[in-house]
Amino acid sequence: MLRHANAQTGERGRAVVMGKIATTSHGLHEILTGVAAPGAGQLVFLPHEHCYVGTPLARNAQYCADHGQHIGVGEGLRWAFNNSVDYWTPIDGGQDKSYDVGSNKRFVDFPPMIQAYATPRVDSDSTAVGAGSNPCRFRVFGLVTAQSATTLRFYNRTRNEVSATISLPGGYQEFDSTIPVSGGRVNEIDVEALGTTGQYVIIHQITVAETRSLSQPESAGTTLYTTATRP
Amino acid sequence: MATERDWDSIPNAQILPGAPVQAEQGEGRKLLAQLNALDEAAANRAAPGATSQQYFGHDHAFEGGAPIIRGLCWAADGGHTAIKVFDPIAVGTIASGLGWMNASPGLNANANQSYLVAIRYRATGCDWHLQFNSGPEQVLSIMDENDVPVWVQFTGRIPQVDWLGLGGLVVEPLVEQERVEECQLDIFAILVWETYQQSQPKTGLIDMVPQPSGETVYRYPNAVLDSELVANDAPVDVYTITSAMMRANALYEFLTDRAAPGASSQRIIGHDHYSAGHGGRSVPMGCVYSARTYRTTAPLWAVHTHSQNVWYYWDTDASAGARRTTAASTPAGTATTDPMFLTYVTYNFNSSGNPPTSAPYVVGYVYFRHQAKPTETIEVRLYHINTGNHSAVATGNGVSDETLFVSGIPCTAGVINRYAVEVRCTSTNNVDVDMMGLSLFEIGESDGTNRTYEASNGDTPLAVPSDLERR
Repeated sequence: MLRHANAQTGERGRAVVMGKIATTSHGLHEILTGVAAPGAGQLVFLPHEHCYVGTPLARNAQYCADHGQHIGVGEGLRWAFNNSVDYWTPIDGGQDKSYDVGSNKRFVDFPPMIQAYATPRVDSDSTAVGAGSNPCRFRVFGLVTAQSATTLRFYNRTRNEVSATISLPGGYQEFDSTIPVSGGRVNEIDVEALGTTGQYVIIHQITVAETRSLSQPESAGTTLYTTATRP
Repeated sequence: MATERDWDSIPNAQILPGAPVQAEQGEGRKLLAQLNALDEAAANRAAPGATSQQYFGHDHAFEGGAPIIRGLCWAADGGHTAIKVFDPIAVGTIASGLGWMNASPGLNANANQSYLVAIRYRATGCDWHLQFNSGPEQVLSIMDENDVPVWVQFTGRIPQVDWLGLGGLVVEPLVEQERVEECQLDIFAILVWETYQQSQPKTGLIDMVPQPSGETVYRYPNAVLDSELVANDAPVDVYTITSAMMRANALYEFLTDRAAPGASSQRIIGHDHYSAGHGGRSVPMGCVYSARTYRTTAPLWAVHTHSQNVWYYWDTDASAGARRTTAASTPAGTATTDPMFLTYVTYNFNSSGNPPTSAPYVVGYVYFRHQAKPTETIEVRLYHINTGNHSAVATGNGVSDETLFVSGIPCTAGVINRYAVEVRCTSTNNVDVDMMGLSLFEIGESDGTNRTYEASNGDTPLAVPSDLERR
């Protein structure tokens, strides 16, 4: 085994350098494998786990709901608009409104529609994941039917931020949007709709996922470690 | 044998002017073997200059590295409709189990591992006790029957690795017997996640923090370590030792996604296990779709198989607005253009074949009932609209209330995957089949039965110390 002490027995030159490389090699082995380095009696360095060290890994689903074939009044993920078009209506629990467009006021005295845990460091504020123009996101997608033209958006009350709006022309269609996310905790999310009084919108299926393409554009380095030949 | 505990920076000055290092006991050759092995394990490819890969690429499950949590393991949410109602008579356990889920390999070996569970409920008439997987009891406080459902969160233990039957949800009304008929517990949603803080404590070991240094650090990525240079215990020359430092620093950055010790900036892209160009063995991320109901009067989907041995979309009998597939007619051999549901899979999780017979692909569990004709044989498969391919066929055992494992489900990475579910009866005609639950997973088991991803290229785990002396 390559040991620090062995390297220091070198009679000439800068054996200490050999020892340091040996140490580095041992440490990398432990970090990589999670077991003690060859010749070592115990684990000294923390294994990398991508939540503290290494590029964060996004999960492809953190919430999923599908009500199947049940779309009658009061069934499944169907909620009616009971108020005027001046309100973003929460699609949940019989509440009438979540956001008063006229007064720019949000009503959050009802439980969130969705709870979705986010992986640590998969965080829209994390510069380690993707700073600035390409921060990490929750991707929200699924199937929806709107009785008439409706606007849909998603509100992350954990961050007090909303997604871009989705214009539904009416009818059955797929939707796909993103919202900011806070990593390492459960995010509370509402689905909001702005439509015509007395009309309905049905969320048939909805999934909240962490996605690489949106959340982790590139690692911090610039040169890929390749199998190139001797420089 | 103690190991040096400090993470040493390797600056230029320490190897200049470049006097040779005496390698009396083959240390130089062992050093090359170690660095090459680390390179193979981290990147899952042959080491620079090598013609073949000898060591497994690490994947955090079986070939090294801390376990990786998978986030969502299982989910059911009925929205406005309760997925399970506990009335005073039927109180107790969800007898057939919540369903099946995938626990990340390795998490159960940690004494502090646990799930995070979230339940949305409405409790009326009295307080209720709720217990999940023999975990601590939760008290669900009494509410008004007109109150909207609320969420409660708690943690549960992971009793075993790999596939885990979720059978342990038990509830009990906290009320005297004469008032029990006034009580009801409606459960609208159940979500189960693997979470980080509970599963991977990090005490007692040294974290990796680059040592502060203003010195220049070697970090060229292309240094090849040639064994000939240190063969026969010859002195290690400055070229070899420099290359070794380059490699060590590059591995540090590649592995940790941080600047090397003493470096002011990072030059090497960190590996990320997506195989989207930055190395590491791909990591399947677990659950990609999940839906479930426990109300036999309100299955997710219901179908009547008019003819024997004919495939039907499972939503064929759904009325307009509820039916999602758009084939003009049954049988299901007529291709649908609209999906029953959507999923998203990990980068490079692209299947091939119809059905896929080799990894990668998605697998699933489907739970269904056919009470009127419980002894008939039911078969299930999934149709992947993106590719026009089908999954393998899962064949029932002639019993109702059955969970089938569906293998070889096609998938396409980087896009929304669009699926329909097909069902048929091979033993008779006119059978009513209700789907009660369906969950899909990316998985990476090691026992061969449920493996959905490619084996690593090497044949030797890096974690075996003696193997490091092979080269």
